[in-house]
Amino acid sequence: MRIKLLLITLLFLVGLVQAQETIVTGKVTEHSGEPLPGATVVEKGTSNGTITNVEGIYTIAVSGPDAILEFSYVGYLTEQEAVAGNNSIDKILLPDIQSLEEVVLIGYGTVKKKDLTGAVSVINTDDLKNSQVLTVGDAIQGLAAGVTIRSNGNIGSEPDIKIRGVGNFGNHNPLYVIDDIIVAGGIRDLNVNDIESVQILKDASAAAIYGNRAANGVIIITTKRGSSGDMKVDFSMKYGIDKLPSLDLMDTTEFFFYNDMAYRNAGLTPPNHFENNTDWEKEVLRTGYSKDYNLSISGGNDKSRYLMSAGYYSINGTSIGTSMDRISFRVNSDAKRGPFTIGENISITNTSMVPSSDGNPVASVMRMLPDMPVYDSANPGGYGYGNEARARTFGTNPIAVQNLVNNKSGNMRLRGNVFGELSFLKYFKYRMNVGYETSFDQYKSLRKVGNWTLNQPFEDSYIYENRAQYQSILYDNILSFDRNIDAHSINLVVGSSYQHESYNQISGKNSSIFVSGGEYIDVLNGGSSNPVVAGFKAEIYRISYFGRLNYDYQGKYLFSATLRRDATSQFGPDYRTGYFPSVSAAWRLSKENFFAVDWISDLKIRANYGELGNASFENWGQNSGIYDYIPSLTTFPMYYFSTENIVTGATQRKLVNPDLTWETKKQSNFGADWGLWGNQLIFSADYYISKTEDVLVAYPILYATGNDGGDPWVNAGTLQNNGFDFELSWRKSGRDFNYSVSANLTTINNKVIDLPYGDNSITTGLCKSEVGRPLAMFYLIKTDGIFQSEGEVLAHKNSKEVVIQPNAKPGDIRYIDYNDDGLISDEDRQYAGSPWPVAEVGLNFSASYKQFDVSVQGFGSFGQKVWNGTRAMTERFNDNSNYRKGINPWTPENTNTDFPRVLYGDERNSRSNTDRWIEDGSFFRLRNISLGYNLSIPKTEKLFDNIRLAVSVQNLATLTKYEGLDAEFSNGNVLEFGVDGITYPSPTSILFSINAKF
Amino acid sequence: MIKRIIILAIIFTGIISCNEDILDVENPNVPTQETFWKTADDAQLGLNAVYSQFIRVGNWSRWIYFRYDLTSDEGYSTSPWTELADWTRFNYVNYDFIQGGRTIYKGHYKQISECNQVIKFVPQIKAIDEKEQKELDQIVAQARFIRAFDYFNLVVMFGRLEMVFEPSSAGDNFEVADSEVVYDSIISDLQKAIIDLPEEWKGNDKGRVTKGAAYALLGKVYMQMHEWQKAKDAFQWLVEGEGAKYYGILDNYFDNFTHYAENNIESVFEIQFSDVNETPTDQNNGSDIDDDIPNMSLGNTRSQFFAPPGIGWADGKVRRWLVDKYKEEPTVDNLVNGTTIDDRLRVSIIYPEIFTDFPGESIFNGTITKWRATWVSTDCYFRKYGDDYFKPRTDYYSPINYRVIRFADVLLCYAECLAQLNDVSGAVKYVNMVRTRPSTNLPELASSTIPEIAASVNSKEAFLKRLQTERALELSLESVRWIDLKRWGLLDTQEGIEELKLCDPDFENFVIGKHNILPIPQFEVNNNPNFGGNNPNY
Repeated sequence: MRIKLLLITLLFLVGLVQAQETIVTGKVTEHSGEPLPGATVVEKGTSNGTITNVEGIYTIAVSGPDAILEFSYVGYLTEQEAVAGNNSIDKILLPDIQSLEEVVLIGYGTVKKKDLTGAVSVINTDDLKNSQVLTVGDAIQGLAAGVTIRSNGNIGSEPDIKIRGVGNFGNHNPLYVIDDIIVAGGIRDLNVNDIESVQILKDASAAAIYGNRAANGVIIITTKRGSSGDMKVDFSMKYGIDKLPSLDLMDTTEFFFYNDMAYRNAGLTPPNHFENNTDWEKEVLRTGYSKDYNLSISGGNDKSRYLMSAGYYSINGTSIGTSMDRISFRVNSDAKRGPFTIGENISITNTSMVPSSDGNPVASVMRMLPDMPVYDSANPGGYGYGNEARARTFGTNPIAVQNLVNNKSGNMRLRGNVFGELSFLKYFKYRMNVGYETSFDQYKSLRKVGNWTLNQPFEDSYIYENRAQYQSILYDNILSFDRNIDAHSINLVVGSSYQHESYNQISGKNSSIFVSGGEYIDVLNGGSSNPVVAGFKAEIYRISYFGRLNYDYQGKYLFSATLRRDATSQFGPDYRTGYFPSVSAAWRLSKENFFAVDWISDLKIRANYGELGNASFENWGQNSGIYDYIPSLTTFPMYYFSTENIVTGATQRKLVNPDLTWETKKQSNFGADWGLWGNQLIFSADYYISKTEDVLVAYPILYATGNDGGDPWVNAGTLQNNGFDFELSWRKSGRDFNYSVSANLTTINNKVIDLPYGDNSITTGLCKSEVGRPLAMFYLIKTDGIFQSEGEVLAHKNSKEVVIQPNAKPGDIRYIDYNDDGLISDEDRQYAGSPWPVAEVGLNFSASYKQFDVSVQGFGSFGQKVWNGTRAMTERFNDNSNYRKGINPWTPENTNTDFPRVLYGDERNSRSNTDRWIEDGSFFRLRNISLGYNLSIPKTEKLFDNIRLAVSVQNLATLTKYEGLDAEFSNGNVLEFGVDGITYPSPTSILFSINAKF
Repeated sequence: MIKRIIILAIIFTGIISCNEDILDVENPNVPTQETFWKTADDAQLGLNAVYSQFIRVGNWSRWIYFRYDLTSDEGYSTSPWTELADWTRFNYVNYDFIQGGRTIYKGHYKQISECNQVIKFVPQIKAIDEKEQKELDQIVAQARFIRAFDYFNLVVMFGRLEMVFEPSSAGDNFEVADSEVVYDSIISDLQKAIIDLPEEWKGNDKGRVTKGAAYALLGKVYMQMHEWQKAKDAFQWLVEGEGAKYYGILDNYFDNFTHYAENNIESVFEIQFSDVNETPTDQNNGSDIDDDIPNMSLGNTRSQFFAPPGIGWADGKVRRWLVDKYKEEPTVDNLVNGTTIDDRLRVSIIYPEIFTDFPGESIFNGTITKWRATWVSTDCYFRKYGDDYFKPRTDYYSPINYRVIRFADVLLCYAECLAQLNDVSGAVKYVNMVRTRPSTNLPELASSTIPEIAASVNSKEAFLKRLQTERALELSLESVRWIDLKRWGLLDTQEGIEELKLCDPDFENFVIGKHNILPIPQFEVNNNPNFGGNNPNY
């Protein structure tokens, strides 16, 4: 406080001394009212200038009352104002989201956005703030071209992210680097409020510095840090309401009508139904609620900065009994003295979750018949389910499962790093970074006695618990050299990285749990029979060296080259070391003298090539894959010769490929960036072509090999992706009204170049991947309408006059006998559509007027085919389940329909591997609409600097012809990614938030 | 400046470089192939793993009973799971149906691949003495028998097969051979196994493969090939030869199907089950990957799948004709069970009038004493190999050993060979040994009160036809009938199919030249070009 007084006095004195000139003072702030220290204030046309102090206050002596002041600050739009005799001019600077001066993280260093030679998408805090999201996946969704993110609505699920198509058959999730720590998943545990920026390294030149882990792209996340100034407090509360889309199932009366019809059509007597009218959807699925509280305190001076935050996030899931909550703490700080900088980022999160015990409660709801009761005291455990005479189904009662199996998982994650930086010899900087991450995981499952499905065997009560710990230690050393010699600018980085990851788990199980007063003693000691203990561990070591040269001449010619050498314990000695190079170059045409187009303010063309690896094929489970190049034995087989002679055995169950190594992605990118009309309009276009060789895949092998325990990993196959990314943005700022529009468009052409073990194709479920075609194409028996008469059945013959479907009756589906052998079998399958979209489009609009702001975000995907599992489940009729409302089956009286005769217990019209349930999956979704209001605070009332109220709606509307639950589903199996096997749908969510800064 | 940079570079290099030896990791969880197969103990462990495969769902713990007992005219399925039921009535739509042929195909090859490891690696182990050498030879011989047994079941079910006789590698493709070639390989394995197998195992090792088991299987293989003389020669070792002293017929038929009297004189080879580990292993019906967890379940899940509704899944039911056949011929007197109804019926089948036919009869440990209201009044359910004699319910952990080769079966096979070789009177003797078991209590064939049965001893044709019924009654629901139907040629002629249709309407769907074997799992056909398409007419 004393310093402040001194400063003001000083300024006042300066003012007095220079009284002969016009003195102007004022405060430069950002839109929210926060001061901008260090902003430049210049008298236009002169070299006379100053910068603002920590309070954002400046004082400048100008040549006269006609002078014009120019206010600028990195990352903000430059503004001018005429002095016009005023002695006090306050200025609000608006952030320039598209600032080309912006600094972009590119891994072990930074570069100005305008000097990028590779494809990097940057998402900054403002986009995050306005769209009001609760998870990292939602934050990135739709904001960057070529980045497809799908999250399903199931509680606690991690986002499924694809960057520029599918380069392999398995794990396509990108590498995450959070505050310089390479992390293995656990993105769910990151508090989205702490995020400062997200950068996505999409192409090889950008990502090559991460070597054999970068092939799926790299997402670099930085968390917020304090800034110099008084302590700032930022508090926010968010409340969300989640609603699932309706399943549109029949009620009992309708169900009886069609169910009886299906029995009669099959020549059977309709069952003696139960007499209830249960709305299973209502019983099982519900409105979800979420809340998120966050408090952060930050501040600092020009030598040190700090930020502390605490957050609490909880969800009540959209299916009964499910919940999740997360407590998070963070401390980020750094300090400088002379050439030294040290700092740390530390976060602790504790997450606990009660997942759905029913793997897929949505599918279970569809399988439950509406006439079955929720509770039935005649059944063991007291829940209603199928009955041989009245409701023949093996459908599982989701309420029974949730109540009889109580699962709970939790983890405490500590993630942090400490770094030190030393600048020396003028041009050098040495940085050491030590990162540590650990997660203590726990899982508990209590199985109570009782049944949830027809004829279910008695199962004793049990408790299973496990405890696990994941640890990662990362140690980076980076030396950089930065020098400008005349018009040459050189930046050189060399470094090394060492990482050790380990995981161990112990588990115990005990059965026949003691029940006291109706309550299960839910600890392991509560059990008294069949105890089982287990445990395992695994570890990975990695050693890497890397270097990067950035060179630029006059900002006109930009060149960059990187090389990384990686060695990892995941592969055998002869296969573990690899080199990953990349080169890129750019030419800024707009800086050339001959380039004289006024309205093009910036034009840059870029080209690059790079090679990336991917070795992230394993997980930390018992059959982790980490040791999959070593032919190993299992020691679990047992056999009973007598009570005294229960023997254990050892044998190799799982076959291995000892020459396993990483897959290599070779990618070229050609692009151009335009900035028009003073960079109000920015347009980038990229064409990329990438080839992944030695694709790592757990590929099915012949059953006769006797292989068991999962398909062995193999390096084989080549996949190619090529396509365009376009990003366009327009921005207009005024005093009160600002708006920006941006759009991105991506196309992907995927092609299988070759497959493992010399195969020409692989059929997996409903799909086939064949050399020369895109991956995972639908491969199905085609249908050709419905037989309307016996005559049509007899007329459906192959070339040898054999009646193809002699058992068919009028109303049955006519299948195409593709191989012309006179019968319908698996061998009649043919290609029946592509799951690949022709184009994916993201649209973003944001505007602010005075205290109001609005943002709209949309995402669309066009041209893909989807196999609709929801319809397959509710329209098949061969097995009892509930049916979709509005079906229109063929009957002798109702022949004008494409819905076949319904048949119970008969597969004539219910084959799943046909094109009957293939639909056009194109959609455009309004992903997020947010409206915000910044309360204006009178200057006298200094309690708050800023209060912001906002409301946002996610997934408000989806334009699509797709009849499934969620056109934006995700299927984790890449070889069948177009199959929507009743994925848990994303809810429509409304979120209210209040944010106060003081 | 330059000097300083060089010094810095050296220091920096010192800081950042790492010793790459740390990258040489070992799997801390399990031993590796490289360090294994060195001692006799290793060999024993390898063989134990082979035995362990018997009790997996792809072998004798579950699905094989659907293929043998439900596909034959003895059983059927009305499971609400239509695809599961369709696979028991010649209605194969998806050839890759996990619970259909696929898990069995895969499961048998898993065991074969483990046999191949034993057969390849154990002979490379240097024995410390002669005793150990003998032990090693016995280990290999047991693996050979098991490999032969697997190929026999596979060839019966699937016809053409992939020939795998060496430890596999991931990218292997295999020759596909017709059944004759497969049979030759089975015979070769068995002949080698017979040399080294012991005549009997004592104490805790009872339940291992014996010489007698190998002879019996060899006989069955030859019978399937209609090589009657060779088959008879093989069986002879057990019936009249050196092995005869180890075998006999139990007084009580029921003792063959309980966990109280296992590995007895009537057992030639049985799969060992136990309920000591009630671990939920391999309950996942949606996968053909076996669980690999500690304390694996050692039980049979058959009873859970075949027990009546409300107790088990009731996925398998028994055709009525069997009940009627049992009741056709009265026993000598009513001393066994108070009636003149063949006691084998009571042991094998739960049928609507069981509680009145056998007054005082109760099932499921006395908890059920009359036909339940929820049970269909015309249904018959599996009782043989059920847990009902000692438990009020059933589960996935049935401890009852499954007798895959019983001496009674061997006797009837021997009789069939003799009759085929025109020695009907010799054959009758062995059938009578089975019929006159004290608890069965039927008269000798010639003395039967039913004239046609009595007359069956008079001609080869009549005897062989009667023998079909004798086998059906003695070995009902024991997974041998499908093999018998194939051997008797009933699946090859319209006449045979018509006969079977009377017993089991599922045979309406039967197409001659197609349904006598299953479709090969389509995945295998697609990925092994040597198949050149699925089985005929699929």
